[in-house]
Amino acid sequence: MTSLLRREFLLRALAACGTVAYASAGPRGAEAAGAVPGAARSISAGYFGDQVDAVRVIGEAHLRQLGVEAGDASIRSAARTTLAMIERARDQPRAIRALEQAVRQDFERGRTVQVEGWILSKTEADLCALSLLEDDLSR
Amino acid sequence: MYDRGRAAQMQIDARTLEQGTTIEADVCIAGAGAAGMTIALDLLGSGLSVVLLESGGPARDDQNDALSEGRMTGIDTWDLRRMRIRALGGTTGHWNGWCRPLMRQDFEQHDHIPYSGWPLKYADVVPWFRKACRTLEIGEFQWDADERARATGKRLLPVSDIIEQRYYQFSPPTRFASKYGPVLAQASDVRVLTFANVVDVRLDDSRRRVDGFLCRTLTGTTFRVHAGRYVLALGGVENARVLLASRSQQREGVANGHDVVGRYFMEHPHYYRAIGGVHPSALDLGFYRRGESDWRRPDGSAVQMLGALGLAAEVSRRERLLNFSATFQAPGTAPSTPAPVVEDRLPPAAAQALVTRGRGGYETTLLTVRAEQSPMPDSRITLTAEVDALGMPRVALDWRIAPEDDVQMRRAMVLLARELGAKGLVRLRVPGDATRFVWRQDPGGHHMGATRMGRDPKVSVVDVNCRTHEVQNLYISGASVFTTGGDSNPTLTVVAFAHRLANTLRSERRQERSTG
Repeated sequence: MTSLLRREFLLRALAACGTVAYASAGPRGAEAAGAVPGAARSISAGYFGDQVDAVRVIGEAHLRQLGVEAGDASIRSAARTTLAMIERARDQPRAIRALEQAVRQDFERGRTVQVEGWILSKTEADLCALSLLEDDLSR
Repeated sequence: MYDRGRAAQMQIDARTLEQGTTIEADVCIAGAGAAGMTIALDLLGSGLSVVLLESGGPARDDQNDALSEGRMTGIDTWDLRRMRIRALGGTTGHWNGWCRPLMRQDFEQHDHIPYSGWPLKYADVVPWFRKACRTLEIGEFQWDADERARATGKRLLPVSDIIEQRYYQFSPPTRFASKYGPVLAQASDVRVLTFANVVDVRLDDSRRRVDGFLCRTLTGTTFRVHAGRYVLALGGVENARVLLASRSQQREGVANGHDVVGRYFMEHPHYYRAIGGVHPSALDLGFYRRGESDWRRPDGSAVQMLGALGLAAEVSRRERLLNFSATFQAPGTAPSTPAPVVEDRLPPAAAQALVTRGRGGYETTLLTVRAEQSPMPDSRITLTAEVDALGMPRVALDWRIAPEDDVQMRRAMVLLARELGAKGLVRLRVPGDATRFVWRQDPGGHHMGATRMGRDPKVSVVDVNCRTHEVQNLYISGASVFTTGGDSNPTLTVVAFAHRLANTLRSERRQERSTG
């Protein structure tokens, strides 16, 4: 995928999410976002060490609890803050570091959700949901 | 085992007494468990003659145990017959040796805990806690987890200061009958009467002093003990039962002018299989597994210890939470209670992905949480119309927990989960939601509060010296005097307060002598 296509995908995805990242996606924002190889689903897989099946179980439970259907648009909408964080990162290692920090801060600041009793960071629950995306790049 | 031969000297089987006998003493202690035996031991050599009454004999038997039967009308706790032991040594005959003192904050008054606040401070009790450590054969009265971790070469979990690291020490456990029974039996100033049950606390004409304990055996012998001072040390339920049942002169019983006896009954809710967790296999939980401490007893055996997690006192105060301590269940140990109350729809294998993220193995764990409950007047012991073989009314135990307690405890668990999550140590599963709690509360067999300590006779039965507000020469010893229960197993605190009460009795004796 060319960088132009990738940038286009990201802008469209963020537009669908309605995030502030879209509003700030001027030339600099777009350039930064465009540096992300692949997108949310693959970042999620990278973050969790490819334990996709396990992570999907959590993602499904999280969405079920939110009353959100497991479609790409609704997942992106539900996880828009986390998605925006991924998009802001310049590459996958940076994205993962940012996510690690966000998870820690979530716990410290009480931004937790409860999924089937488990106390999880909002960010990691979102990441699990993002692993359910059918396709990262087709929108 | 209790050596009956050695112990024969001053031990009298009350069934052999002549009908109508009166026994005289300076101090009469009813109950030869941890509290009663501790007081009797401390009074040795004081110049006070002591009579120690025990409902049972050297060993447990069904006939005596049946006297403890009662009805559960509230939360179903373990049956009283099984929990209590009517024999020399009392419940120390089957306790597991868990020791931790009530904590500094447990003695304080808290706005969010109704009826909290002891009439004395933690510091007032510390000398007696130190003595109790020796009585219970544990290590020093030292509860700094950092220091203990350094001394044992174990590592504490790297949590922030919102978490307070704690630990239990374990008594061998001390069986009072075998450890201290022979000492009392050989003492010239203590008479131990076995198979002797107090069935009525008789007051003098003023109703302000006890005139005698009316006692009965299961074989029908009735006798009386007349003493200068009387101590009830019968256990957390029986102390209240005897006061309530002593209504031959007053309809409300003894020391119960304000209808407080039996109320404010507390337990330690134990949550065994509700809080699950996953953590990386590499996580070092050595401090939190029961193992040897650096302390050694005179016989060379090591005092065992077990690390636990609670919330810092300041956090509990700020967040308006009850006290609790959480321990990690040892791997491979069988659950001690029935199936989980929450169906585990999200398997640990899913949650493990969050903590290991594909790097290394994981382990599942369960936390056992021992919690405080708020005192509440409606959680209470009352008498039923049914009587036991001695003609004593049996009790109805209506153990209750305020709904707010459950919500508080759940919030406390979420705070713990957040801290462990922030440090990437453990992910916790906490059942319930913010308004509904689905933990199953198991009891600890810790019967507290039914003759509680306080300054105000309208909400307490005994004063700061464990003396009843209404009856000048009647004292109570045991967990029934606890104003609040904290989360610590009560035996160490019970023994500490028994030492303190013995000191009070000795002081009063000295004072009487000096004033002629």
